[in-house]
Amino acid sequence: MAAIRRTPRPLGLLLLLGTLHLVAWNVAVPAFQGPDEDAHFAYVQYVGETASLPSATTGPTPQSTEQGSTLNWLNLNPLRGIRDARPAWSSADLSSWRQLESTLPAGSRSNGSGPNPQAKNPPLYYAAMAVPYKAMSQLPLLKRLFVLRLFNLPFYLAAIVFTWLIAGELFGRVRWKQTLAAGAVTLQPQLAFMAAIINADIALTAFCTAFLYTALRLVRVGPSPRLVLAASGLAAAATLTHGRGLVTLPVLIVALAATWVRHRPCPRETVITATTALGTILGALLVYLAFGRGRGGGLYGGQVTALNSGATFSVRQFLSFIYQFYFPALPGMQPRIGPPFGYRQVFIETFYGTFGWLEVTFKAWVYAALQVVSAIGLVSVYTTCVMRWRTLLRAWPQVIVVVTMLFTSVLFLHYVSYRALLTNQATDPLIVGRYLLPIISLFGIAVAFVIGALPRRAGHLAAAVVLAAGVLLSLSGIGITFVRFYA
Amino acid sequence: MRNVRRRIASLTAAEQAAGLMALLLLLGAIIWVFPFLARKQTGIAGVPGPGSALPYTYRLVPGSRACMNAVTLEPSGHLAAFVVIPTRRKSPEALRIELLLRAETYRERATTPTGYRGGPIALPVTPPRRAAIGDVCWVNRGRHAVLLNGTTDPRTVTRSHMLVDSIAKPGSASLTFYDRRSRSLLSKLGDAFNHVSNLTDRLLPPALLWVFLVVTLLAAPIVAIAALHSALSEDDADGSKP
Repeated sequence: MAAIRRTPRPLGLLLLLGTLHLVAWNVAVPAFQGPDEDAHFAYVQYVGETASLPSATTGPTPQSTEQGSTLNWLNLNPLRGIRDARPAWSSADLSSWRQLESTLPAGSRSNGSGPNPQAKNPPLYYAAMAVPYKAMSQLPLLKRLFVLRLFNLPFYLAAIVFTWLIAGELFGRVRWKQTLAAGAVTLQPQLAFMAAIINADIALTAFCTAFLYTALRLVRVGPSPRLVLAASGLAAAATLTHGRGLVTLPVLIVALAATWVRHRPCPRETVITATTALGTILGALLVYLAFGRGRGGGLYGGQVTALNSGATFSVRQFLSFIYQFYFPALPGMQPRIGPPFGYRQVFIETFYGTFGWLEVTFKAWVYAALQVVSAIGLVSVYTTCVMRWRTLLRAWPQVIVVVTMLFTSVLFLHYVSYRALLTNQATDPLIVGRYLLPIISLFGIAVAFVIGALPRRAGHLAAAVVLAAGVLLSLSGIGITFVRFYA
Repeated sequence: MRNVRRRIASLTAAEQAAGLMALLLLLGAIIWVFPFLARKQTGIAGVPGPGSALPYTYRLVPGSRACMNAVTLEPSGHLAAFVVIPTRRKSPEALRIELLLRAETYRERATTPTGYRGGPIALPVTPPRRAAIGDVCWVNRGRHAVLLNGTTDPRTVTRSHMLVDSIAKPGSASLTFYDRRSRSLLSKLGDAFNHVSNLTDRLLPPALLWVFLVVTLLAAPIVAIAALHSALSEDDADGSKP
């Protein structure tokens, strides 16, 4: 109750907006129409039904009979990625599905032991979601899935809250900047869409955002045991949620180093800090090794080994690969490996909003406008950094943490993409805009940073423009998705 | 004009920002939201078999019958769209395909028009009064063999199975039912909400969805405006924050 009373009113309103947003997306997206949602749900269901982990590589079937029957009978399978398809949405279909469900034999929910491609993910998110799953196991599947999706709400709201807090750390208690930063995150269509489906990405986003906040607080306040434990605990949670959570580890190291340089704790405090951080991470790793790997799986389902074996890594080729991701090739450059998939596809189209199984898109001019606005934004960030270099220099520990989080995340994605293209005959670049969502708080912060640098009245009005555009974009995303599936 | 400017200048920062946001959202609603809701388009009544980039064809010799089972026949499915291709490209003869629809007590029969030489066609049919699950059959009443378009693409294969002359065939035919009425999205919302309700196992009744729609369309902009207004008011009260 006290926490509710202490919640600043603008933040409370943003949390209300986020809740509305998530529920609206849940309504707009039919069952299993989020990216890989069928596999993520199958993982949750298997954990919920059997209290054990599915396998990424072996097993009779990746989905339970119950799930497979629903996907098949309601024509939800052909719906995935095929714009012309529609589900079996009539009352006659529902009646016949109910009949089908009632005749499924015992064990139809618990036989999806694998191979499940998502089983290479660590189990934290799935174990967490298995709890409400189990509590609602008496519900038929369609109801169960709809309600289960709502249990992503705490993760989504956590991303909003911690973005607000990050803005507070960086800009001080300036409510309009905090509202702008957290509002940009709340209204980001791709984030809300991903929060409304069963997928570990939203949990990863929440943990990474919370981690970034604690890391920033750590470098400002100093190495209190509680803060170190929180930061390392959240880094551990991120790594136990998804392989992409590993980016928090170098950021944690940098944050601890910056804390030490800034605050110069005594040797005893340094030892306690280091031990706390290392102990937390190692403890998480041991728990993962002992309980978190699926049957026959290596770390992250063997992905680490798979990505780093095969074709030899070439630094030159990698740098050229990154360069050509953003810019046209220079004369004399070897063509980039893989399909033509670069900045526009990742940072614009699939970051701001590509829904369903990537077949629901805004009109081309919307992405073009977003690309122009983003380019102006990037130039503005640079310009503002130059203008405010003294302020940034004074706040060097926070700047280092933010920059490390940004570059580590993006570099990691490029590395994984490059290695994947070397091992899968250059077919699948394994990089998409929603993989940037763990650093969505930096998007909000960048918006507030740039607009906050404008003269006061202009800044307020620009904030109004940004938030209005966000509302229109988010409602449009929900609208076009709803029409695609139901009209 | 000067009065308007003076009035705007006399507003607080919070009021100006909120006012601008409200104006932009109203403009956005007028330019995009209302036209989006009002734009008329052909309605899809059902897609028992979507098309695919990997087509497959079912060969129907004269008299052959291809049947697709477990097809939902909806009251709004006035047009049955499919593709038939002649095997003889330069044949002067028109094709004659009979479409049979059957479910519970419902029976319907339709034939391609005179002069049909193959390709995509949307055949008018009288749909059933209520949604029902039944069969759709194509019978080649012409004098030459034809190919019925379908797909065996695993991504698009539906629950329906194909039989050609009682022999099981892979995949399913590409078939879409359209509503012959061109309707706006607003007028189709009732049907769309029924679809949502059915696909959530009636967890969300249509009446609740109507309420939710109104709440979302009104509340989302209002709450966003209120958040910025509240933030700026708080900063003003705290003493002119930057």
